[in-house]
Amino acid sequence: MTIAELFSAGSTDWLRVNPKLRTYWHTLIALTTVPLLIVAAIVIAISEGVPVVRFIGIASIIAIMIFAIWAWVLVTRRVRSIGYRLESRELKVSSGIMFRRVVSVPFARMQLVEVSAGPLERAFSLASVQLHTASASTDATIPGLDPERAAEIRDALASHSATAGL
Amino acid sequence: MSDNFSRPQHTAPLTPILQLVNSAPIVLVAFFAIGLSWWFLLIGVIFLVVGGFGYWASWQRRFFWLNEEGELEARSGILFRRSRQLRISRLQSVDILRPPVARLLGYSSLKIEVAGSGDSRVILSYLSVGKAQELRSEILALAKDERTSTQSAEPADHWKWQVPNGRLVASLVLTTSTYFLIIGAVASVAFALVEPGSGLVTLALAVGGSTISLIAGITSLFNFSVGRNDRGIAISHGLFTTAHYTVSPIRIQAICVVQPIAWRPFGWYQVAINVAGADQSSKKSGPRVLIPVVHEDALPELFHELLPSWNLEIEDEWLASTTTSRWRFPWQAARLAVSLTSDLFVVRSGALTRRLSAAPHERIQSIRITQGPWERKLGISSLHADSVPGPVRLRGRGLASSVAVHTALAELDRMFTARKSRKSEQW
Repeated sequence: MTIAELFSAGSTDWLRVNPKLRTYWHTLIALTTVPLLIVAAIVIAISEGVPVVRFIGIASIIAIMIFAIWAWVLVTRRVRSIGYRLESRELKVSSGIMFRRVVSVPFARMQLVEVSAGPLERAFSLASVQLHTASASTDATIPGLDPERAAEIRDALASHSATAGL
Repeated sequence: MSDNFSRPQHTAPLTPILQLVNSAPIVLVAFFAIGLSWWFLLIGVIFLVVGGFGYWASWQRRFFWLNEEGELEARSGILFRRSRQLRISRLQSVDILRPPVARLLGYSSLKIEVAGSGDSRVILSYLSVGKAQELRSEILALAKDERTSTQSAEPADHWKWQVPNGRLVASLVLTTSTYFLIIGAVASVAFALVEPGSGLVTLALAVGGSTISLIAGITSLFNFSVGRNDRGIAISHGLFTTAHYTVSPIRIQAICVVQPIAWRPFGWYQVAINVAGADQSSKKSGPRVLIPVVHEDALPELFHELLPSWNLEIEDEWLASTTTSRWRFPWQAARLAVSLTSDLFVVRSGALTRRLSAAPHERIQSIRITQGPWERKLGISSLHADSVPGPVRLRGRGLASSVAVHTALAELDRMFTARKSRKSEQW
């Protein structure tokens, strides 16, 4: 039994995020890796006669590739690890493969609900919902939601916090 | 009430000179960088002329006064004029700050803070001490008039606790930086034995670093006093720059009783606090320590006076860490434990520096369980109770995963019910 299942008192019906999040994260990895590789390639190209620089360039290409492939492979499991539950009095979010975490935020402690969608997220028609409390370490973010679903969650949270009475 | 401050006026005429003196360290840096030469003299002259003129011009354009609407208005700026109004009825604090150079010449700054987010404070530099006190009492009188309630703006302390400076210095000498000093000294002796002469640099670094942090700690916490008045807990401390805080007890979100190992023979403790609403951008704006050092005999009285609703006498059972957690927390595994009392979430931790942290259920913001790969191997998890930013962190570590989950669910239950049943705290 995973921690997440234990924490939600045995039930396993956590809500999952949109699988499109995988493609989004893959695109993100590609978009950050390619420019780095280009920079490293340019360094190698202009390094004629200076073996140290050339070595550094090749080493960084290898490092970048290993890092990118590692992240690429893990994306599927990362997406699958994200779950959330809107319960009667609190929101629970669970995530992580190696370092697992479950956070539970009572509606009464919410200070702000934020729906955000960056340009690339919008291109995939995805949005994230983030919950803020008075604590900086709360960190309850649900990425990879359909914009409509994100708005639904936001409205639900907002109505709950109104009735909970801060 | 005198209408002394109702007309726009400048700060003290000496202000530009004081500001110039305050920025003198830059000149010193330049001196050390290039030595005494024509270049240095040139830079010095340019600094004096440009800096002096700049400070003088900005002083010329800076005015403050108490306007008819009960606001403190401050205007400044040479190219871009800036005007700010602080509504005195929303006053939070008026503090007299006395930076070293100004203090020698009998000048001080006045910091006026009102409730509100962002840019809600004005610092008037510099005023003669007499004038600063006059303006302070005038602002306090205005605030008192405008508040319908009977609470006085500058209430007398019902109870006050003064930390003896000798004990403060001794306690700070016996903390972490001292360990680094000892380690540094041992390391430098070892280096010196291996290679004569090389140890001096390490020793100098160790001594210098820990001395600087020690002096910073002592000057900041010198003359520490904590008291209780009608508006809450009053804390003031500082040798060169004095800080005053008034904290309403409901703003204290979490506390931690700390005892470094070297304090144990003396029976000393420190009480650190997390305060809600402290400006998160700068660490200096809110108090982080309720009392820097106190003997265990005085601790009950202190709690009785300042934190009457915080009962740290744990009668309930401690939920201890598992025996396997020794492989993750080799030193402190035996001390790691959490407990849920009727009011508080309590965490015990630390082997060398012992800590007892606590937060009331209704002030915990969220509950988290985390588990890293190594913890998963050992079948343990960490239970975090999130509090507002501050020195206190509540982390129950090394708990068996099932215990962590059950405790989290129990704590959530208490978090829901605590808010409903408890009225706001009264003195």
